[in-house]
Amino acid sequence: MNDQELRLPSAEGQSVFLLTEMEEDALKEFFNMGLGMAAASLSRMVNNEVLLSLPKLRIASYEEATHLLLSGQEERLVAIRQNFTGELSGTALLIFPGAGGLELVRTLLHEQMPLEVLMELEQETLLDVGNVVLNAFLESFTQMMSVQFEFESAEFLRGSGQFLLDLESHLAAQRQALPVGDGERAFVLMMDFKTHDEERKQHTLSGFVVLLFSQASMEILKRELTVILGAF
Amino acid sequence: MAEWDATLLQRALDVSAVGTILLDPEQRIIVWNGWMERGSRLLAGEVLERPLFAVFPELAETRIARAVESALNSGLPTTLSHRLTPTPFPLYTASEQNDTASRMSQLVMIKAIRDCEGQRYCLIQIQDITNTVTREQVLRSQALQLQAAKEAAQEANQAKSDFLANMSHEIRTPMNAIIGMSHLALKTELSAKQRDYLSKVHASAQSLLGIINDILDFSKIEAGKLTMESVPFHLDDVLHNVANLVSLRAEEAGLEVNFHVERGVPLNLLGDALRLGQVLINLTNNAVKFTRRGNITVLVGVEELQELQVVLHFQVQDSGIGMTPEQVGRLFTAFTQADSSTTRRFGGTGLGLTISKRLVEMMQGRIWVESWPGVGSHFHFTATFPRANRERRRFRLPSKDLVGLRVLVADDNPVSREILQKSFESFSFQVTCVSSGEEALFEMERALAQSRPYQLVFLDWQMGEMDGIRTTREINRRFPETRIPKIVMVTAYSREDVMVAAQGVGVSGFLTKPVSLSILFEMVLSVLGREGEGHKRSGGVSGLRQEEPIRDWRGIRVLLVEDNEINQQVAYELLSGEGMEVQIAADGQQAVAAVQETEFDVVLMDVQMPVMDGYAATRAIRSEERFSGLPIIAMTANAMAGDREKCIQAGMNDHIGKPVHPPHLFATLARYCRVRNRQESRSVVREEEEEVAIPDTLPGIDTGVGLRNLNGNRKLYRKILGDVLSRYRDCSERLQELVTEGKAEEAHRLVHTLKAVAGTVAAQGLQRAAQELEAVVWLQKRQEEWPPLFVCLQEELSLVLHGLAAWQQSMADAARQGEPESTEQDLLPLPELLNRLSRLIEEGDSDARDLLEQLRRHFASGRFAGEVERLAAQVDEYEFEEALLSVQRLREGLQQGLAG
Repeated sequence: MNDQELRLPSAEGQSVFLLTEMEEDALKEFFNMGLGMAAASLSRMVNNEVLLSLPKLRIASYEEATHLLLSGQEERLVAIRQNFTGELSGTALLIFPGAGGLELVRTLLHEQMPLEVLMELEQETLLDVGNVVLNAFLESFTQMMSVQFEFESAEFLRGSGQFLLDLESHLAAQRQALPVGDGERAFVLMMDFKTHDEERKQHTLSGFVVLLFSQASMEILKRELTVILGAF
Repeated sequence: MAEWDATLLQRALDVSAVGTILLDPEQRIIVWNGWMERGSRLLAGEVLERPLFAVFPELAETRIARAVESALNSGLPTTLSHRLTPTPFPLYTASEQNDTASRMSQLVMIKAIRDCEGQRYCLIQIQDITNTVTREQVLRSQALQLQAAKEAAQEANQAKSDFLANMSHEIRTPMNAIIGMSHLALKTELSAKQRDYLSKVHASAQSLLGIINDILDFSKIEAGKLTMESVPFHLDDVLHNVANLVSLRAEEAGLEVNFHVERGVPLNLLGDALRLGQVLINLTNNAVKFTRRGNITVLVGVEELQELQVVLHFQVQDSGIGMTPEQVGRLFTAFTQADSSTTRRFGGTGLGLTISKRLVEMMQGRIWVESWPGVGSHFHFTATFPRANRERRRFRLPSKDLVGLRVLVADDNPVSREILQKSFESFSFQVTCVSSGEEALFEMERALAQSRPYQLVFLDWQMGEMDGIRTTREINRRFPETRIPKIVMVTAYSREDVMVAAQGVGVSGFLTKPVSLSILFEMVLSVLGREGEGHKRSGGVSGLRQEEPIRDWRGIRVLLVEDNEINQQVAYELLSGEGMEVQIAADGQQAVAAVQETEFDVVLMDVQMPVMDGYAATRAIRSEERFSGLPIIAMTANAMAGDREKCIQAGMNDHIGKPVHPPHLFATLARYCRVRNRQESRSVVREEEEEVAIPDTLPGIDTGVGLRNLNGNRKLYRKILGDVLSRYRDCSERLQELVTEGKAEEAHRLVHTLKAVAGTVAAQGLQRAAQELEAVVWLQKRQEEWPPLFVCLQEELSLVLHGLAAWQQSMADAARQGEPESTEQDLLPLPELLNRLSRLIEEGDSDARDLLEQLRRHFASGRFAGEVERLAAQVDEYEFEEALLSVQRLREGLQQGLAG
C-alpha cells in the first residue's frame, strides 16, 4: 500500500494537526522500530516466527478514523487498550476486526479449537500479545521524547468501533478533564501479522494500531517532533 | 499519620486476594504479602530485602525478568498470560486439585509505580487462575469430543447417502430387466392365470421402483447431490403429465381429480419441470390415497407476478381423512407419516413429503398444510420461476363474435362444474351450469323457447341416470337438426373408452379431464370449426403434442448401444416389436464404427460401457460434421441429477432413465424421429414384409406362436429360423458323440440350449423332447431311458430341420427367379395374374411357370399356399386340365375372400 494515499487531502488540512513530511517520516521510523521489537518479542514468546508489517499510516480526525477503519464493521470489536498519561496523554489501541483476535491467538498457540467464542484464557492470551505489541510501539514512541509518561496496565475491551475510537471513553476516568471542545486526532496504523501454523501454512491477519491524542497533546507532540528533528 | 497508614496498608495487602510483591529500583523485595506467603510457602521474613531473582533463580532470563526490567527502566507495564508464560512463579494453588500440590496457574501483571521522588518501583501482582484453567481444559476436551463425534456422525451419514446415491445405478439395471421383461411378457400369448401373475409382477415392480426412487431422491437430497434444472417448460404440460399419472389411481378409487389454473398464470416458465411435477404428483397421489370419496382439486394461482419472474401458488385439496394439528406437526419429517398406523393402512415410505419440501425449497418456495380431521386437507406450496418468454398467453382471446358465446355445462360434480364455468367465463363466454342430463335438456328447451339457444354444450359422460351419451341421444331426438348445438363430451376416464361408448351418437368433441385453459380453448375453436385461430405450441421441452408423433415406427433404423445383454434384449424387443430396425453395438467403439457403415435415424446410447463409454462415443460421432444432426439419446441407469446435463454436454440430444418406461421411450423417440422419412420407410417396409413372408405352418413349428413370441417381428423370426437350421443341422450327431464320450455336462448344455431355442421358435414337439431328455441327462441317471428319448429328439429335430431346409430352398428359388421379373413387371394384380395364367396354360406356354412364381409370392403363406403348390406341381407335370381347374378354384376362393 502506498503511503502517499494515506495522506490527508490538503484541502481538509487544519494546519495545526498536519505534520510535515519530515515529521511524518520520523514518526514512521519510530513505529517501524517498535514493530521490529514487537515481532522479536512475539516470536520469542510463541517459539514461532512472527512477522509484523506496517502497510499504512494515517493521521485522521475521529470521524475519519472511524470511517477509515471500521466501515461496515457492525459487530462488536475486540481491542487491547493501553492508556498513557502525563504531559502527553492519550490511549493506544490494538484493534482486531471480526474474529481476527481469536484467530491470531489460535494460530500462535497452534490451537484447533472449534469454539466460536473467545474463552477467558484466550482473552488473557490476547491481552498478553496486545500488551507486547503496544509496549513495543509505545517504547519506541516515547524514548525519543523529552516528556515523562505514565502507563496504565493493558486492558481487554469489547465494544463498537465508535466506542473504541472515542478518546473520552478511555480517558474519562482521568483526573484532569479534557478541555472542552478539544477535538481528537488519531494515528491509525494498519498492521499485518504473518505467521504460520504447524503445517507451515501461512496465516496473515490484519489489525489496527491506533494512537489517540487530544488536540492539546497533538500540539505537544508536534513540538517534540520539531525538537527531535532539530537535533539531527 | 504515616505510621497507621503503613500498618493499615500492610494489613490490606496481606488480606488481598492478589499476590503482591513490590521491588525497589535494585529489584530487592520490599513488600511480600500474606497471599505470597501462602502461595510460595516462604514467609516475608525469609525474602524481604533479598533480590527477587536470588529468591527465584529459575526466573532469571525469563519473560518475568524482562518485564521487571522494562517496568523499572521505561515504566511500561506487562501482563503475562498463563499460556504464553512457560516459567511462572513457583507457587502452589490453594484449590485442591486432582494431582496433589499442584502448581498454580497464574496471570502476572508487572508495572511501575513512582515514589514521591519520581523513582520507579516495580509492582508485581499475581492472580490464581488455576480453577479457570482446569474448567477450560474440561470444556475444551468436551468440545473436541463433541466435534469428533459430530464429524464421525456426519461422515457416516454422508457415506450412507453416497452409498445410496451410487446404488441408484445398481438397482435400476435389474429393475429395468424386471419391468421391461414383464412388459414384454404381457404382450405375449398368456393364460388368464399367467396374465394375472405377470401383471401383478409388473405392477409390483413399478411400485417398488417408486419406492426406490423416493429413497434415492431422499439420499440425493441428503448428500447434497440434487440439483435443479433450469430449462423452459410449459405449465400445462406439467399438469397434464400429473393428470396422466394420477388419474388412473384416482379412477380406481372412484375419485375425480380436477385441475384449475387461474387466469393470469403465466404458462411459459423456466425451471425444473420434472421436479415440479414430482411434487404435484406426490401431493396428488397422497390426496388420492387418503380420500375415500369426494373431490381432489389442484389449483394454480399467482402469488406474486413480476416482470421477470413469478411466484406460483399451488394447492392440492382433498376431502379425505384429514389430520389433527399434532399429526400436521410431524409431517415433512423424514421417515414419518401422520401416525404410524396410517403407514400400515395406506403404505408408503413417508419420504414423499420430505422430498417435496426440499424440492419446493429449492424452487424458492415453501410448503404448508391446512387440515381438518374428517373433512380433508389442503396442501399448499409456492414456487418461484423465471418467466421463459413473456408472450402472455398461448391462446388469443376469442375474436369478437365469440364473446358472449352461450355455453351450457352439465356435470354432476360441483367442483368440475365450477372449474369449467370459471374457465369459460375467462374466455368471456356466457355460461350456465346444471348438474344433470335432465336439467340440461330442460335448460336447452327453455333457452330455445326464449330464442337464445346454446351454441355449445359440455356434457359430463358419467352423471347419474341420464349420462352424457343418453343426454346427447335425447338432444338429437328432441331438437330439430338445425337447432342442435355442438356437443362436447367430458370425461375423467380414458378418451378411448368414451369414444367407443359415444360411437354414432353425434358428439363433436371429446375432452379428457383435467382440462387446461389452453386445451379447452383449442377444443372450443376446433368444435366451432375455427381451428386456425388457436396458437400452435411453439416447441419447448414437452414437444409431446408438438407435432404428430410417429405412430408407424416401421423402417426406423435404430442403433442400440448397450453392453448389458438383458438390457439389449429388452430394448431390442421393445423397439423391433414396433417394427423398428435395430442394430446392436455392445460398446462405444462399436457404435462409432456402426454409424460409419449404416445410416441410422436415431442412436440410443448407454453411458457406462466397457472399452468406450457413451460420452466419448457421442463426442467421437459428433466430431464428424455429417453426424451433427443425428439424434443421440442417452439411455442409462444413472438417473442422478446432473447426468442429463452431462449427456447434453457430451452432445446427446436427450436422456431416458432406466428402467425404460415404454411410453416415455416412444414419446422421446417421437420427438427426434421426424416424419420426414415416413413415406420412404413405408415403401421399404412393404417390400420387406413380402420378403419376410413366413408360412402359416412349417413342419413341427407353430409359426403363429413363434411370431408372437417375437412380438410379430417377421424378419427376426426368419433370421432365427435360419440360425436354427444352420446351427442345429448336425446337432444329433454332436449329441450322439458327446453321449458316447460320456461328456454329460456338455450334452446337457447342448440339449438345454436346444430346448430354449425350440421354445423361442415354437417348435413345440422338439421343445418337449429336449425338455424330457434334458431332465434325465441332467440327473445323469436312468441312462436306460436315454436311448428312446434321444431317438424321439432326433425325430423331432429332423422333422423341423427338414421343414426349414425345404422352406429355405423354396425361398432361395423364389428369390432367384423372382428377381429380374420383379424389377420389370413386378406384381400384377391378382385377378389379372390369374387370367393371364389360365390363358398361358391353355396355350401350353412355358411362361406360365414365371407367372406361377409370382403367384407363389402372393400366396407364400395363407390358406391358398397349398393350392398354389398343387398348381405348380400340375404345371410341372403338364397336367394342364387339372391346372386350369386349380386356377379356377383360386379365383373363386379369392372372390369369396373378397366378398366375405
